Amino acid sequence: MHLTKQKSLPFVLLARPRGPAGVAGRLGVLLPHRKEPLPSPADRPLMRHPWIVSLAVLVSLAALLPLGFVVVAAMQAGWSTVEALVFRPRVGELLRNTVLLLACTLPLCAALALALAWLTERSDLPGARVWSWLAVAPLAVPAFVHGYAWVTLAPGLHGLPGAVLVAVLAYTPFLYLPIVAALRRCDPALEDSAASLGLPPWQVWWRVVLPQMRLALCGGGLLIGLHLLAEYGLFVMIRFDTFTTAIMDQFQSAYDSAAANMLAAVLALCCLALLAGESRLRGTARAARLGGGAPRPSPPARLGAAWACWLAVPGLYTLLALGVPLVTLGRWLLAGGESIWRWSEIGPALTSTLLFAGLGALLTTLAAVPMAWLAVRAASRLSRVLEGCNYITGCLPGVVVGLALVTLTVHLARPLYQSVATIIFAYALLYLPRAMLSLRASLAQAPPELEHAAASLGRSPGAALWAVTMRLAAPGAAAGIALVALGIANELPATQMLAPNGTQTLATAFWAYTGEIDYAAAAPYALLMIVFSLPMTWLLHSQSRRIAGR
Amino acid sequence: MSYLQLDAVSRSYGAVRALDGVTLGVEQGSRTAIVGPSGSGKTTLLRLVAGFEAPDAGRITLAGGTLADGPVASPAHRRGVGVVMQDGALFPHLDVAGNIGFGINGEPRRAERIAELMRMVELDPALHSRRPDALSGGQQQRVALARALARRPRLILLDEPFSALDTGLRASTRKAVADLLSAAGITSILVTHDQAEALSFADQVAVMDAGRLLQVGTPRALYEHPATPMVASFVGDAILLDATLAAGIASTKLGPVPVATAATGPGRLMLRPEQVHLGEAGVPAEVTEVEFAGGACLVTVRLACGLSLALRQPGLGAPAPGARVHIGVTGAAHVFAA
Repeated sequence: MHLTKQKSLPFVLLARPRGPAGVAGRLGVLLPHRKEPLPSPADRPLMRHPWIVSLAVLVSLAALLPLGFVVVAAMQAGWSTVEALVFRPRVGELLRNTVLLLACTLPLCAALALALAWLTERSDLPGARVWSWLAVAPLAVPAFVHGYAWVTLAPGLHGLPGAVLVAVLAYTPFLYLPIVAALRRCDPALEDSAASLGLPPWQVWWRVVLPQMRLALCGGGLLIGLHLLAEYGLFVMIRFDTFTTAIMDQFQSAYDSAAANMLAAVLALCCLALLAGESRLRGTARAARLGGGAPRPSPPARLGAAWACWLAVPGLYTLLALGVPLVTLGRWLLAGGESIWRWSEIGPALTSTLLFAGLGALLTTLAAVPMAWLAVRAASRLSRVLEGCNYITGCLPGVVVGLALVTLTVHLARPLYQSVATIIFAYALLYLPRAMLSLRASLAQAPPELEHAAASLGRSPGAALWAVTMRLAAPGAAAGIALVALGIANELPATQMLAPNGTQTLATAFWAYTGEIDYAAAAPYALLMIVFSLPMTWLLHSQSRRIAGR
Repeated sequence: MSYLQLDAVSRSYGAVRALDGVTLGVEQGSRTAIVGPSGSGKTTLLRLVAGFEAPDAGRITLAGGTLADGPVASPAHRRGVGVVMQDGALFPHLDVAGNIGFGINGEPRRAERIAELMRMVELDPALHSRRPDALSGGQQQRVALARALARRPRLILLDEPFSALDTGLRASTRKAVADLLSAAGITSILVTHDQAEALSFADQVAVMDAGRLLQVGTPRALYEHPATPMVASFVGDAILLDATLAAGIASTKLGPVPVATAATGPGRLMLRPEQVHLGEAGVPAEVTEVEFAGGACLVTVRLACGLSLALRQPGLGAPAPGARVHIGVTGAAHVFAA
């Protein structure tokens, strides 16, 4: 920006031959003399990187496709159709189910996660470290495998109670992780202060500790809420109707139906409402600690004689959330014996899963690079808007993204319908936020000052970027790639809609067998998915520890 | 028995003895400062008095009632002891009024009491609904003090409350807090690693090192008659000299110096740098270095015997390096007990 605008001024031409450093140095001295007003600080850094900005805009526009599809579909259908399809008892019933599901699941998850976090972090519970791992481990079991385990164990389980039970078991770790991180970041001096101001321990917890958990509760609650809206397999297993299952029903009977599109629109609205509600609830107040005194770890609360009762909380949770899936799976594997290991089917499913996951994760992370870079190094209003676009799409369920891409490819680009390119594109839309978060955090680990230091030590800009920034950001980027890959490996509805004909992944093959009630044949796929997801669980757990600086 | 009494209080963390048989009395309405290098156990002492932790052994009593007797201790919230922490420890989710009124929820006339406390610590009423992160460091400390005072504590503990403030603000805040506490007649204990802060704040100063109390006394007594060379150099700059004592006069490398002891024979004594001056008469010396610092400067001189001294001198008319000067001593030297 400076350079192009200054071209006409003679002193810049004089400075030119000195090379970039000379130009910058000269400009720094001479800038105050020029007549033109300086561009506002907000847009200057962006304009200095036109390529990165255009790439980021392009990715964000692509990310808005599913939302655009919903809007266009509604407009094309016309108001009377929309009215007829949206304001009908079926939609009301689905809406009621969704609200009930959220209203029952979220408080239970929060209560369970808070109890687990307090016991493993703040009390002298025997084996707290092991329990802390076990509280995260259920994440390694995909939600629909949880559903499979419970349905085969208790075939009578169905409807709202069943859905709430299994959802609480499967999703509580999403709240447990941020709460643990927040608990570790809490300044113990605040609790000491509250005690010295006359508050008994339970009031300290209620009036001081819990308010500091607000961000964690909101963030984790949103994540669980979005998962509940997007989950397909679990609720089909447990025979509980949500928008996602209804859309899949519609789609499987007749794709490109206005009814499915309108359900998707309502579902998308629900997701946006959840997003808006969370940001409302979270508020603007910061909940981080003030000051930087060395935190003195608080002494663990003594459970005393009641420790055995308290042990029941993590014990029961582990039994139900980990024991049940593993025992059921083990039973099916034993019952099936060697005959269920049909390698001629498992092999290709494994290969395509690995292909989709690897390719998808790599491309998603690459697509996230421009935006993450802008967000960290040249933050501005535009970069925040671009980032927002991606988070909005990231909160849309796989079924909406799948529906959008099916319709678009069928109508506009027939050869791309059910192609590898389209499904990878869908994965990129779904998992862009995951990649963004990891990349942002890892780029923030490499402040530009380090690049400047490298430059002052004689490295060229490119060499400095490679030797410092890339080196420091690499672990975080790798973690992001892994998280996206594991997300893709367990994705079900979008894969079902978009995968090339005849191609199965572990998730879709598992789903096909459970659909045929061949639970034994499905078991090896479930096992493989769990084995793949274990590293993700480990990664999340260690990340939450690292956030807390331990 | 003092108002607050600690008797042989000990506390260990693993193999580290953070407090080793500390006995200390604090009179009602007085201001005590506990000073010591970091890791000396002063914060542990404060945490035991506040009730955040219990001692392994020893007794703590306040106004005749037992706070802790060995590991049996009453919890912090029943002690009526106010604490102001190092960086205020304000609740980030509450505004200024919420923080100040935190401990008096449900009390009638709470709002009036909050306004009164804000006046007392000289906080602008306009800050009433500010969030703590929108306050300056000095304002945060005032809120923390008001919050602690709200419950009319029997004793208030200040844990390095001024260390986060910049130099100018630090002295004025310290003075304001000291005046406020005296006016309210509140017994207080200040923990600090800054000796100047301790001397100017307190009626009674206790010097700690390695979990033990080295000396307790008035600031003047500690400064003029430290019990050990360690205390002497901890509470201020000190010139330590070996001397031979005879009939109230010590022969030193700085010449004969009067001492207030009848002891004879070899001894170790201390002079404060302000007792030593450059002049026309006295022991000859050479200026080796002058560190200019505005109003005052630090002049380093070397005596013929090889002894080097750093003396604070007025910046105006300070000698130049290489100048020949004479060193004289005013007042008596303090002799350490053998």
